[in-house]
Amino acid sequence: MTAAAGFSRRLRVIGAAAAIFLLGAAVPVAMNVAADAALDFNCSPEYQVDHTMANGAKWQMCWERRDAEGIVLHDVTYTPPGGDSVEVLGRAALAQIFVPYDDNWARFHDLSDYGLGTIDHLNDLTAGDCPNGDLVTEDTYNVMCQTEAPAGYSYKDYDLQGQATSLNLFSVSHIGAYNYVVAWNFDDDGTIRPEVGATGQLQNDFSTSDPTRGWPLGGGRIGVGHMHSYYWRLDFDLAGTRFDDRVEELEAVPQVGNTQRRNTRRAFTTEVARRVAPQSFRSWRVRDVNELNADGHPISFEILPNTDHIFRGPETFTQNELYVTKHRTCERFASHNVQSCSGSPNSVPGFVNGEGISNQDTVVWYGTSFHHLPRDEDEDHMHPHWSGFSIIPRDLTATNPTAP
Amino acid sequence: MPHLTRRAWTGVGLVVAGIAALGVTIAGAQTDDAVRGTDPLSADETETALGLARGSNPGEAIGLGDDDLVLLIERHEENKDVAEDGLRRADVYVYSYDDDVLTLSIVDVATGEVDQSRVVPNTQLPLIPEESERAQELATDDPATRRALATAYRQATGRDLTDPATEIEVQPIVFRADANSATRGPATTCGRHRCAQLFITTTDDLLVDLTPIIDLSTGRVVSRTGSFS
Repeated sequence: MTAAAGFSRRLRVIGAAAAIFLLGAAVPVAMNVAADAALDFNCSPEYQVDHTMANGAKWQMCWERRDAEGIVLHDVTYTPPGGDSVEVLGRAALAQIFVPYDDNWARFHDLSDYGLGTIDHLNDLTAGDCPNGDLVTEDTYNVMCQTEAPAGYSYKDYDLQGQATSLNLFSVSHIGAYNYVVAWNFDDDGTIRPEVGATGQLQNDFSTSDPTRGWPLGGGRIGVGHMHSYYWRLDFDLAGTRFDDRVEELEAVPQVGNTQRRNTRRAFTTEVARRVAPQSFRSWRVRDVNELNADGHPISFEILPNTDHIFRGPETFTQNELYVTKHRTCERFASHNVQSCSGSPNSVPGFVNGEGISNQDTVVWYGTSFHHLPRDEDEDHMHPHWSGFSIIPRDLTATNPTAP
Repeated sequence: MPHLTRRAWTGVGLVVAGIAALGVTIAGAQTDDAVRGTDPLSADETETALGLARGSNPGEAIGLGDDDLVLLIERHEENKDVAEDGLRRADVYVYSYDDDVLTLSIVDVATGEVDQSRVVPNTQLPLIPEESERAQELATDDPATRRALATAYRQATGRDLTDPATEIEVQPIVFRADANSATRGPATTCGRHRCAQLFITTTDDLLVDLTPIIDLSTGRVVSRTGSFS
């Protein structure tokens, strides 16, 4: 196959003709897909999610169970109500769960070393796990629950209001005493909210543990504090084209004696590792170089960090929250990467090795951490503690697609 | 180092049993006619890959020795440039307990050809059920570990451990020494060797403060407590 053929993405729109407005060499084309077209999934029906939301929006994708990651999503595509389909992510998956304990009892790399998707660890869900939803099966094994649920206001403006819904897909993997609920929330406005809920039982609550490393529990035991650091690998292929996505850092920098804020955008041209900076409202967006919305603004999706806790351990991959790398299939895990390609590094900092990312297929890695200090209410059984972040449309549409 | 205990459990029979537990039982509901794109390997595709791994096609076979264990057969994720061509290949990961080497072979399940085969360094895939069972057997066979378990069980419950089969549950997981810089002693070989760490709870959900580490490559318990803090 030629290199040019590689530009056409697998999840194609067929049927209605593309509406292309060529406004001159320097002006990119408008959204190139039509609302009523059928999607040509790159998977068989058993592995498709093809969901129309209550407001008419659509989420479509393929899924795959893999031993390490559990559920991997492919070709994630959003269609606003009455609008045009746009592919957002070529591939999306959790890429590590790192659990170091405060007493250094253990430092677990749960995803790569134990495998969220193995038959030993992936739960066969029951109807009770999935109230008001549909179980998604592989053969006779219920690997996921799919539910559309109310999500509160879509908007409220005096007497005008709209109600939002969200499509929730989740699987559950038990690793040791923990059960991880790996969830993807797809909102009807195009927002994607990846989340992981940690529930089950405490893994380290011995009477012999150092009380300065945790919290006293019943029976003289110490619930040892620990981190849950989650890393996602997000292969954006905005509008189905993979060599024209650009990653930018957005920030609001204090100026004029901290009375004003200068809003900045910085485009990355080489692979990069970046930290969260809540004090300057740092976020990142992946924009398409060519596709514009009806206002003439580049379509993009913005990564909004969740920075409640920040963890810096001795491991190099904990030194940053965001990594932007040139796409390589064999760079799959943020740590303990399966080194299936000759010379492939062991963890994501090694993937950042100075390669240019302009006009290259890029992958964004995002990590967030939660320090769990046990409490009596964790027994028995533990409430899920959730960690996640948001990927929101920025200028995907010229106006709010959920308002009439 | 002699590996006298391994041949007893890493024969072809266990290789086949290992495959049966690798997810084949929850994959491949569809016929091969329907398989496409990012679908996981079908049962037929997995069987084809397994056949090659077992050497049923001598001209193209990966070739398994008695000390080899198939750890994983999974759809090969193709580079995007070729993904649209409908190529369906399998990653077959084989661990050689003879020399502690993990090999990846990429098998074209349509043509039956092994396209590539290479050593995968510094990687420990998750344990398969046969390895988990073997780790528990080795721990059970070690008198000192049994005594340590009895003590830890009494400490956790106030009771004597009389019937481990009904009183405790064990979750073995793969252990790498480099996951924790505090690791010391014989367990530092884990990672170069294939090791399992056992997490033990009582059947009424109390944690037992004992996480022994078993070197599956040598068949020895390398840490009875599993704690280096």
